[in-house]
Amino acid sequence: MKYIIAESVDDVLKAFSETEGKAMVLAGGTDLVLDAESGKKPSDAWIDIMRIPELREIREEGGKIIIGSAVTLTEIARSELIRKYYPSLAKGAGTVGSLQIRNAATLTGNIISAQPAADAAMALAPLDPEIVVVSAEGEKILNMEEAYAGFGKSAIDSSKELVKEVRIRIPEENEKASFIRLELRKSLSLPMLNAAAMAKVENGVIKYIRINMAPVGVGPKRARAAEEFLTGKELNEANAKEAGQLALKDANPRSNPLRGSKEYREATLPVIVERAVMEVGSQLGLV
Amino acid sequence: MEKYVGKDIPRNDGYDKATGRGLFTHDIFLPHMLYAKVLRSPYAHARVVSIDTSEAEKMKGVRAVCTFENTTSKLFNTSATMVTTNPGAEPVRDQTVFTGEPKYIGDEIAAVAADTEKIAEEAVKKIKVEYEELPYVLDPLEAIKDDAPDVQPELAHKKNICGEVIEINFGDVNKGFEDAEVVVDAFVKLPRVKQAQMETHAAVASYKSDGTLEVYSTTQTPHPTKMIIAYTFDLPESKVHVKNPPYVGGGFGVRIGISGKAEMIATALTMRAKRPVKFVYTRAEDFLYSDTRHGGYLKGRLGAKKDGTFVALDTTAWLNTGAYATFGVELLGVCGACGTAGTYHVPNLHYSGYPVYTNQETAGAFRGFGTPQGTFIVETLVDAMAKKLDMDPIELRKMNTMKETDDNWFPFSLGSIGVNECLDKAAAEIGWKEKRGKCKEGKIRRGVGIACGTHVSNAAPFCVDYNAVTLRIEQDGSMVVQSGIPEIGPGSTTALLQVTADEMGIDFDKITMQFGDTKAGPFDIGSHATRTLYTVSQVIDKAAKKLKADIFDYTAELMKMDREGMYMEGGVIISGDKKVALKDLAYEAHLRGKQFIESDSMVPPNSLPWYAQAAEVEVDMETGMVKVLKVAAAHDVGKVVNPRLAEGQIEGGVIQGVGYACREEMTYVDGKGFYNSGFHNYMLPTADDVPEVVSILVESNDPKGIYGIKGIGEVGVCPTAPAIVSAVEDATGIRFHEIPMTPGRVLKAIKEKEQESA
Repeated sequence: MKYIIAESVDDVLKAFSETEGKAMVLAGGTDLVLDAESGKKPSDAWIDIMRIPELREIREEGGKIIIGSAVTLTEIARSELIRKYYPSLAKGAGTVGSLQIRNAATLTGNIISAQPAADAAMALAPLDPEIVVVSAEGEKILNMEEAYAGFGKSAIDSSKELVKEVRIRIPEENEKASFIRLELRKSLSLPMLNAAAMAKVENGVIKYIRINMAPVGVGPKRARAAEEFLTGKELNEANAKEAGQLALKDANPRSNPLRGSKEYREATLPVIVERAVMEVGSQLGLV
Repeated sequence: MEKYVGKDIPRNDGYDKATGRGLFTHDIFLPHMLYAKVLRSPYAHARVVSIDTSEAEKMKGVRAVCTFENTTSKLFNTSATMVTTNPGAEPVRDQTVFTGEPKYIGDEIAAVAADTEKIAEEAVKKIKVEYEELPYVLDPLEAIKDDAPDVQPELAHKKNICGEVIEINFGDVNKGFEDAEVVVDAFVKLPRVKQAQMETHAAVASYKSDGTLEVYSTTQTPHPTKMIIAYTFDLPESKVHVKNPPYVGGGFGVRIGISGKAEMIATALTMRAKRPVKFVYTRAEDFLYSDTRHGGYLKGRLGAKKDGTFVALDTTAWLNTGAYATFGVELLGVCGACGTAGTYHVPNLHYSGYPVYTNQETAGAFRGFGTPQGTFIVETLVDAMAKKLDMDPIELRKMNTMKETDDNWFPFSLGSIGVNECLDKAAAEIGWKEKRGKCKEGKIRRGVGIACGTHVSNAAPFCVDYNAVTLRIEQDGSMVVQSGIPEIGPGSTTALLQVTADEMGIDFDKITMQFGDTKAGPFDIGSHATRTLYTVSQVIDKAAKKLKADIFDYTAELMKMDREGMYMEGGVIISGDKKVALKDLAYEAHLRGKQFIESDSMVPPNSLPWYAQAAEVEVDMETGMVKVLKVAAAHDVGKVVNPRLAEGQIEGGVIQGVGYACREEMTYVDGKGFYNSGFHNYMLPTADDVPEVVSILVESNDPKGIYGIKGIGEVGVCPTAPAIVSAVEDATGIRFHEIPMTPGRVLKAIKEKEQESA
């Protein structure tokens, strides 16, 4: 097996063409190495992107925060920029796995491994990120939903596509985001449920709200019915509660022997969504 | 005044363990060593119709294939009970190294030794087995029904009961209930949980051409393990050498005897291959195919007078011991003896304990050894009684706990009893008076609870328990302590040498211990039953007194010093105004052909370690999430030898208890076996989940322990779960009779209560 250390995005593209689709991009490796070992994701070569300077940065540019695809979750959790604008993303990134895993794993990896309830990807989802993908064909931008092809399946083919960065718009004063996790333990465990929200509230009225939740389907699922209900309404406890109930309309949770039965998840999803909405309200000083 | 006992002496194995230089069985690599992998049954109960190993044997790099057909079928028991059952009783021998009639998913059919792990793994896949599936039973209450499938038809005592039904009778329980004015009942269901020790089971066995067998292993009990191996493979015990290398990555009871089956499988393969064989359990194998804590059911009834005086207690346990007994019989004994009959003075007691065979993974020893289960039912009953009598649960406990003068069924004197002091101190630390029983409202509710109990400081006289040490003064006056006892994590070699240093009057850093090795000393049952410090310090004390007498006699004669009033301090022998350094004396003795050596052996007495733990919890009424905020753990340890090590034992036990109460559970999926194949799908608390634990060390100075010592090892876990359940009841008004209190169970109970009151 070949191990290619790329030093630039061009190196990666070159390696793609040389390996003819038989290599895989390796970032933190916290999933890929295990999957390779168990035979789930065999490949002829790994292209290590962790030493590409431009992918290692978090920076502010043109009203956006740019998070390079080789930035680790620890770096995101500790980034002053992220903590200032999106404390919920710092929280989500700071919850994945354990400290040792977060020191290696990346936000992009959390998206590409495509686990529905991946905490960092969940916290990112309602921020409406632009996922910038480069390949021999050029550059394209995916939104969050476009990045997921199925359960545990990414729309990004890491044998020929490289996520260069994730871009998030810097929020206005009246826009805030939240992340809530219902957990059996604080480390080394996927949550029973998680949810995240971002809203803009003007004169007490919700201009828009995006709510994501998992694991209730493919990827961080949008709670569309709840969003529609809340749009144009006041952000208060009664409405948040109603939205929580409506979240069930877009959710199809399954039973897990460990992380909760379908019944339990259906009973608590409304609570988690309600709390995600209320947390936004609390950050805005409304509730 | 003791110089070392009572002090935080840094552990003498700390650097080795922290830096990775200390050797464990996983670290052992011998020249020409092979690697083993095992073929396991995919069925809960089946018969092997045919087995074909020819393809595996043909593979390059495969050196031996062992199956139930070519390996001894001598029956044994993996637990030390096989060689420590008291005279008059027969140990249960119900296992073979490999089997042609697998009795649970994972039962061993065959094993391969090969040049690499990968080859061994491939070879195992090439073994062709045809099975005939047989009926199976999974639940202990189902298994004792007449029409249930038989797990061990030839060996069961009666319907799926291994060994015997344990009965404890004291007073007249029927009459007791006639006299009772208030009676409460309870029925509880407890989960299987896993020891989850750091180092998975492992053994490296090497059978040599001179007929000797050397086994490095993770056992907690080298001597009994040696005896079990020698018996099963028909080897003279003198030719079997079992040792830890010298460290063991934890145990918590899971390898009192054989480590899973690691030593047996490695031995079978090395005897066939004539090369050293290493067999290391994967974490999944360790979780799924070695002893767990016993889960099952307990029923109880407690009778009291209106003033709260207990008059009768009747309890029954049906615990799931799995496909083989291991410690099933003994554990049901301790569940009754310490768990149900130990804590309170109840003049009329009855207990029945059913060790029930099922077609599941075995259950065996795990920290507490039945006491947590027994304590759970009794503390459930005591809280129910307090509620019914409208009494403070602590007051009710304190008036009924065993007093030093009370009649009791224990086959030894009670010694000191510090349980009421533990109750008071734990209660004060948790803020009992301010917090208990206060009106709880809102989405997030807090509550406090308490539980107490006792255990033992070794297994005597319930089973064979004795040990020996050899003490030796080297020619430079430094000292060697030799014992078969292992160090499995608690800091035993440090605490024991603190005691030795004070006993002898020799500085701590001049004493070295050889341990965890059958060649380090004569028989020592090993590290189990909360006994290591308690029992080994007893025999060290006995031998040290003789050793000192020998040294002093010799000194008096050689140095012309007065024998009367002679003592040793800091390695200097003093009498009147004369003194001589042991260093000098030992060398003078050497020049005259004399070395100071003493060996002794004894059956230890027993002492009762008492404890009370109070917990504070927070319950999220909307999600059912129980968060343990704090545990105040007060333990009567008799006398503290090393406060930091003692607190470490308590904290570790409490955290296992928090997991037991709230999260940990082995979940069985019919047709597939247990779901929990590793840490990712077994909710052991992580360092991030640990609540505040306040350890309170109570010194009651036991009359039988050396310096007043009692045991500490197991007891940290014993009362934690019932204390947390009690706190959850205080917070929510709901008493849980099933643990763990997972969010799903808690929310369901909250909703049911809401519906009832609506």
